[in-house]
Amino acid sequence: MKLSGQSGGLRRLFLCWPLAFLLLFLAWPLLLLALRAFEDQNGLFIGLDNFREYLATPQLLRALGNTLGMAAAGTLLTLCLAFTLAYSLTHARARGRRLCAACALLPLFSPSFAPAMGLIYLFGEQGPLKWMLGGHSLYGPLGVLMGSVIYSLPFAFLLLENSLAGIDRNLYLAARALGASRLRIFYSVTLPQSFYALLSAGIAVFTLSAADFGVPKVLGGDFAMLSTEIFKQVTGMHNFPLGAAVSLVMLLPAIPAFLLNNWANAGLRRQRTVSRAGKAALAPEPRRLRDAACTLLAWVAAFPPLAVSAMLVFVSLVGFWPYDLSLTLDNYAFRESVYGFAPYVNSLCLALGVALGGTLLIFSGAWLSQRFAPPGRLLAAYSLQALLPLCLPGAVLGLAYIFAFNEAEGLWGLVLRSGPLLLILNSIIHLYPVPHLAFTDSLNALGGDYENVGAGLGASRTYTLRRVILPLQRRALAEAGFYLFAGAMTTISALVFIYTPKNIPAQVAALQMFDSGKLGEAAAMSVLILFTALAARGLAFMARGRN
Amino acid sequence: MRAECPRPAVPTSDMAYLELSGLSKRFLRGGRSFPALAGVSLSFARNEFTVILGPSGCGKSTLLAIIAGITAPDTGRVLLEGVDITDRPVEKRNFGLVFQNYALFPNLEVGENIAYGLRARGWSRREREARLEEMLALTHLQDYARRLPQELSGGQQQRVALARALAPRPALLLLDEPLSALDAQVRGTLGLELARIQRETSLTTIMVTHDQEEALSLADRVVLMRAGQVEQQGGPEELYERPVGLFAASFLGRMNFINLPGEGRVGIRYEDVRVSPATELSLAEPEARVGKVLRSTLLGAAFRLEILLNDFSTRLFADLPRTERGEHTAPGRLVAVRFPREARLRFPEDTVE
Repeated sequence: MKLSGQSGGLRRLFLCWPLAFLLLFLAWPLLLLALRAFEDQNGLFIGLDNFREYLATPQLLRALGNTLGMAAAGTLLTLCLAFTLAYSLTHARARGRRLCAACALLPLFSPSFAPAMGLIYLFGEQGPLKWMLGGHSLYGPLGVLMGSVIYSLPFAFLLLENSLAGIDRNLYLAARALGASRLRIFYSVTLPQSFYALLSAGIAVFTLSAADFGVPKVLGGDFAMLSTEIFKQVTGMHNFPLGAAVSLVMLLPAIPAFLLNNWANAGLRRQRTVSRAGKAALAPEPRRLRDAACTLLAWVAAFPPLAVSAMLVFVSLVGFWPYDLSLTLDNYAFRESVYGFAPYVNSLCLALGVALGGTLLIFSGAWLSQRFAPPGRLLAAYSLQALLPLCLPGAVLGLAYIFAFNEAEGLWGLVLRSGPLLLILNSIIHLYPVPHLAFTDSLNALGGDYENVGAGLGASRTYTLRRVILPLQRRALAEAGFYLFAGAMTTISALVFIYTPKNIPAQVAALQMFDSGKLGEAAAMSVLILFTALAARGLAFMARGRN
Repeated sequence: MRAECPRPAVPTSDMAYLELSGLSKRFLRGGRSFPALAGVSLSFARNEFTVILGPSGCGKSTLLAIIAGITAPDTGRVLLEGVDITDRPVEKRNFGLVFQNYALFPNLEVGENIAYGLRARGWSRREREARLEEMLALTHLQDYARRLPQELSGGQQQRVALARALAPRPALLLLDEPLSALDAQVRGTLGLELARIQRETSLTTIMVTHDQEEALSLADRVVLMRAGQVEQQGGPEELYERPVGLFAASFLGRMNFINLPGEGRVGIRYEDVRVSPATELSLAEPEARVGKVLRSTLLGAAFRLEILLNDFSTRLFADLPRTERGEHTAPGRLVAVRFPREARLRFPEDTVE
C-alpha cells in the first residue's frame, strides 16, 4: 500500500511515532529500572548483590509468598463467583439481570482501596458485621482476599459474560436433541466454549490482585505484600536499587502470564470467527427452579460490591462514623485535609488528559499499524510494547518512572513534573493495552477495502479516515475514551510513586486521608471518584450513538 | 452400501406419521406482536422427504422449530404416530436436527461428534463403535474421524452434522437450510447425497429451504408457505405445473404474464414459450404472433431471449436450449412466437399482487 504524495523517509517517520512514544515512555524507563537492580545506592555495578539481599530479607521473601498465595486464592474465588454470575445472567432468566450486572460492575468505577474501605466500615473493629468473621481479624490475609475478590470481580465478569453470551444456541440445541444430560452439556459445550475466556480472566485477575497496591495498603496490616513492600523500600528507606530488584522479581511471573494471555486472546478471536456465521443467539426458556436458583446465586455474587459501595456512600454522608451518625455534607468540604478540594480537580484534569491524549494516541497507533501494513519487525515491536503493560504491575511502572524522569533537568524536567503531564503519560502507558486491543479488533472488523475504494475514487487516506473510518469507529472511540477516563480516576499503584503535592490526584489523597484517620473525608473523596466515573460512563453511552 | 436401519415395527398405515394441526405463533418485536404462523395444519407420511419452501419471513423456520420442540406454539398440536408431543421438550423427542451452521462441537473430533448422541441413549461401547463406523461409511467420512470439525471443508462439515443427527436412529430428521452455506457446486452434489442417504435410511425427513431448485429436485413433496400459511402442497411436478396462484407460479420457476385476446391475463413459463424463425409457414400457424428479439443472453445450458411482441407493448422472455441458438435469434430479428394451450396458466384475479 502506498501513502500517496509522501516520500519514503517521511512515511517511515510518520509510521514510527507511536512506536517512538512507547520506546521513550515504556521501554526506556523499564530498561533503567532493570539496570538499577544491579547497582548499589551510589550507582556502582554490584552484580546480583541486590537479589542476594532480597533473598536474605525474610520480610521480602514472605511478601513474595504471600502475594503469590493471595493472588492464586483470589483468582480461584473470583473466577468461581464471576462465572456463576455470568452464567446465571446469560444462561437463565434470572430476575433483575441488568441491575445485578450493574451492581457487580460498581468496583470498576472506584479505586481498588474503595471496596477495601467499605469492608472496614462493615467488618472492621467498629463494623456492625464484625461478628460475622468469627473472631478473625479483617486486617491480614482474610481482608486482602475479600478486598481483592470484590475489586477484581467485574474484570472477570465482563470477560466471561461476553464469552458466555456469545455461545451459539444451536450447539445447545444440537446437544439437547441428541439427548445429552445437563451435566454433559455443561462440560462438553459450556466449559470448552468458555475455556479461553476463563484463562484470560484468570490471568487478568491474577495480575490485578498480585500487582494491586490499594487493597494491601488498606487491609494488609502486618501481612507483607510485594507492592506495599516496594513502596516501603523506596519511599520509607530510599533503597531504590533494592526496590528495583524486587520489581524485577515481580516481573518474572508476568512474562509467562503475558505469553499465555496472548495465546488465550488468539483463541478467543478464533472462536469468535469460527462461530460467527449462522449463529443463533441464546434464548433461555423459563424454567422455574433453575431461574430461581440462578437469581439467588447471581445476587449472592453481586451483593458484596453493592454493599461495600453503599457503605462508602453512607459513611461519607454522616458526621463522624461510627460515633456521630447525623447526616451531613461536611465531609465533602474537605476542611481537615491540607489539600482541600484540589486533588479532585487534579484528578479531573488528569483523567481528561488521559482520555483525550490516550484515545488520540492509541487510535492513531492502531490505525497506522493496521491500515498501512508497516514492515513486520516494526509492527511486532509496536504490538509487543502496546500489550506489555497488561502484565506490568503498576508499582514497577511507577518506580521505572522515578528512575527515568525524576532527575530530568532543564525545561524538559520542568514541563514533565510541574503539571500533570508525567502522571498523564504514566497513566496512558499503564492503560494502553485494552484500548489498543479494542481498536485493533474494531479496525480489523471494518475489512480492508475502504482505503482502496477511497483511493480508487481519488480520495486520500486522511479523507477516508475522516469520512468513513472515524464515523464507523465512533463506538470504539467512545468506549476507549471512557475506559481511559475511569482508569485514570481509579488506578493508584503507579501514581503513588510519582505524584507531587502540587498534582496529587484524588485517589492518592483519599488514601492519605484514610491513613490519617479521616474516614469520612476519605469516603467522600472515593464517592466523588465513583460518581465522576459513573457520569463518564453515561456520557460515553450518549457519545457512542446508535449502534 | 446400505445402512442398517430397521424400520419401526408399526406397519405403515393410512394414518399420518407426523400430524400438525392448527399451529399458530406470534412473536413480539419492538413492542408489537406479529404472526409468524397463522393456523398451519399439515400431515407427513412415513419415509417421506418433505421440503418446506418459502421466502424469508414466511414462517418456515418457526414451523420447523415447533416440530423440533425448540419453540412452543401459541395454539395447535403436534402428533407423532397419534401421540401428542406438543409439550415434549427437544431432548425427549429423539429427532435428528441439522442446522444451517452445522453447530458441530468444535472441541470434539469428527468421530466424537457423530457418536455424541449414542452415549446418552445407553449404547454399549461396542454398539457405539459399530454405529460410528456405519455412519462414517454412509457419509464417506472414514478418513476424517480423528480430525477436528474446523479442519474440514464446508461440505464435509455438513456431512458430519448429518451423520451426527442420524447416528441415534432418530424418529424424524429435521434439516434447517442445510445447504445454503455451501458453494453452488457442492450444494448440488451434496443435495443428491442427502437424497440418497434419506432413501437408504428411509427416514421421514423434513427440510426447510428458500431455494426452489433444491426443493424441486430433492423432495417427494413440497409444502409452499407464504406469510405464515400453507399456500400449496403436493409433488414437485404438481406444484410446478399446476400452481394454485400467482405466488406459487412466480416463486417456482420463471413466468411471463401476458394478456391474450379473449382470454385475459395468462401465465406462461419462460421455457414453454415456443420461438421459431418468422417464416410464412410458421406465422400461418394458429395463434402465432410476431415478435422482435431485443436481447439474447447465454445462461449456460439454455439461453434467454427478450422479445417485444408486435403490439409494441408486451415484453416477454423465452428460455431455449443452447443448441437452438442461431441466426434467427440474434437481436433485431423477427421471430414467430407461440404459447401452447396446455402451458397456459390462469389465476383468479383476486390473487394478483
